[in-house]
Amino acid sequence: MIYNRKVHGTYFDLVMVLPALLLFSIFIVWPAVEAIFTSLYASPNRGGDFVGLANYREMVGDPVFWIAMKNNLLFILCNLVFQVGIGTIFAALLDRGVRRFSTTMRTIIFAPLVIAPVAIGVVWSMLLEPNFGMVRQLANTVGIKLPSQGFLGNPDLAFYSIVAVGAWNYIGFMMTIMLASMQAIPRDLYEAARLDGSSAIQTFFHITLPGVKGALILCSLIVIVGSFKTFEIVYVLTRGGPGNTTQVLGTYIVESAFTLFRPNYAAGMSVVVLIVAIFFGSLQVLTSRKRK
Amino acid sequence: MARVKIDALRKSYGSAQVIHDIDLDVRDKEFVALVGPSGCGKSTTLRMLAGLEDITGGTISIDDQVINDLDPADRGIAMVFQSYALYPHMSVAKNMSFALRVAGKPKAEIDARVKEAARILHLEEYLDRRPADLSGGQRQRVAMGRAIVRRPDVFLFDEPLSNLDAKLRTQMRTEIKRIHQEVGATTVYVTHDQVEAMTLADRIVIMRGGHIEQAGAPDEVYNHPESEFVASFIGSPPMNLTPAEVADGGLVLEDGTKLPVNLARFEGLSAGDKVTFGLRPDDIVLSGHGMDVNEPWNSKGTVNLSEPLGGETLVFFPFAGSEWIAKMLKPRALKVGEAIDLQFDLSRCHLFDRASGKRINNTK
Repeated sequence: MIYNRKVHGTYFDLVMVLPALLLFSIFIVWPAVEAIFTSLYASPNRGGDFVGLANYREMVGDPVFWIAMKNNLLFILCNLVFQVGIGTIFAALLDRGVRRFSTTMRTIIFAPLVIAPVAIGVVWSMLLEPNFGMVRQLANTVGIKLPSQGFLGNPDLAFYSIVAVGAWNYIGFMMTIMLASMQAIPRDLYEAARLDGSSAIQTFFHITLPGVKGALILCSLIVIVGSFKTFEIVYVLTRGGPGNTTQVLGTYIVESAFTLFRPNYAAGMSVVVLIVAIFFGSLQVLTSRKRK
Repeated sequence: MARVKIDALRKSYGSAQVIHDIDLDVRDKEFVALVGPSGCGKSTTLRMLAGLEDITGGTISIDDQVINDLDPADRGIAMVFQSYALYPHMSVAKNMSFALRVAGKPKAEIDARVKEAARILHLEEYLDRRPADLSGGQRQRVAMGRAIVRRPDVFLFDEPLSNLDAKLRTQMRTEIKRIHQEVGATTVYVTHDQVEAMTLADRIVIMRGGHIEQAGAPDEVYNHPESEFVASFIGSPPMNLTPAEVADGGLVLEDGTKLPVNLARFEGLSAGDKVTFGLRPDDIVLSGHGMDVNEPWNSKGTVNLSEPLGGETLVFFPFAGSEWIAKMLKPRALKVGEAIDLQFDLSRCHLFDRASGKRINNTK
């Protein structure tokens, strides 16, 4: 298209971005600003007392907040290892190793991603149901003894069960990003490495990994931000229990706002999540700019 | 010592056979160029030699050891790729030393070998740079350096100069020749550029459709092409070729032109035989240019086009129903449409059997 100065220009550009800007302002900026204000007051309507940073001070002394924060950080760690790690290994296998049925395998691994996390939570809560769930029945059939409360009711296993369900959900996504990146590595490099006597493992670490560094950083940032915002799967599977062992900031915010009726405190926690998300989001933008 | 022997080498992809039982013997320290048009099987042959492609049939041996089932790294070969295939995240030094590092060689030995290769290739000042910071020629030298540090018995080159511009290609050609003389390894070099093959190789192997058409020294394939295909492929510009029929006292071309070719010089010709008459552009001169012509035959022509190349000029003129080229070594300005007197040196002509395309040999 020929660029026409009379038609195009600052005003034209503004008009074109206005709808997106409007939607972004209404659904993202405004609620964020509202949350910040709400967090500084004692009751939901701003008619209440201005309490300044009192909600934030309370957070510092709230053990459940710190359990949720710790779980969020643990989620990041586990998801990095399982989602990005296993996703990368699957991608490497499909890229270099598996020759037959690779499209079928790719589809199977990717499939869970198209299911909504809430639906996944419901399906897995049925599968993991302590008395009649399919997992219990399978375990009984092969003679494996499972804890009586099942996976989700056991304080030692609940958290890792959620991690496993999350991994099942997102490994396909990570694998797809990593696979696309791996397939962009010229085949000549692998052939040169073969001639240089590099083993499969050496080739993975010396050729593949450095070649997918950008995608790896992208996946890691997606996982970090995603893990910090995690809510649906935890809420549907355990609601933060048993005994707050799986509590994350997302579920604790909802519980504070709608069960304990403390929306201002919940807003404060939302602001904390927002700040962390903005920090990692900026990192993501910075890295992608650097790569360009 | 590294003698490469290829026996009845065959390659098929499913039912499609792309290499047809080829035999080739590359002597120790010899520089052999595989040339041919796209799809002739030269790169496939090289890749089978490297171990990057499975062999369907036949054997490849280096110094009498069959290497068919050996890993690429265990064959004692190094390869320079068309794309250079340099590891983008590694410095020049790391690229060159990669094979030695994965083999667990001592650091002192690695450093010494990299320094030595860098000296040969004039890369000393670029050792810390990454491939992205190098020019095409420098990258090419790094790719060669990576091969040199391994001290292979056999060097394989897969169209290594095709990504370079014309000037750099000429420079690198000289460089490759110098390095071959200095390193002295047996070399198999794949190219589609016959000039590259002629200037670099001790022996040229011309391939077509998965077969070897001819293997011989550059002057041999140039002066005694075994087939019409080789005649048209080797030489720039290529040999002029036109259909002819054997008659009493010479050849008759399709437009009726009679050429008084001394047919007694050729084996087994009889009247009525259908042949292809070939003459190199170098063997056609402008009359009165004082060149020695053994069996001159005079003709008149008109200039279709002239291409002055500095030291010589290519003159395109219509002859026997097609466009022929003459190479003038003492150029003068020629205008399109200008009438010219030409002298064909019929003692230098080549004849090919029209049905088989094979050379009709000269009598001894």
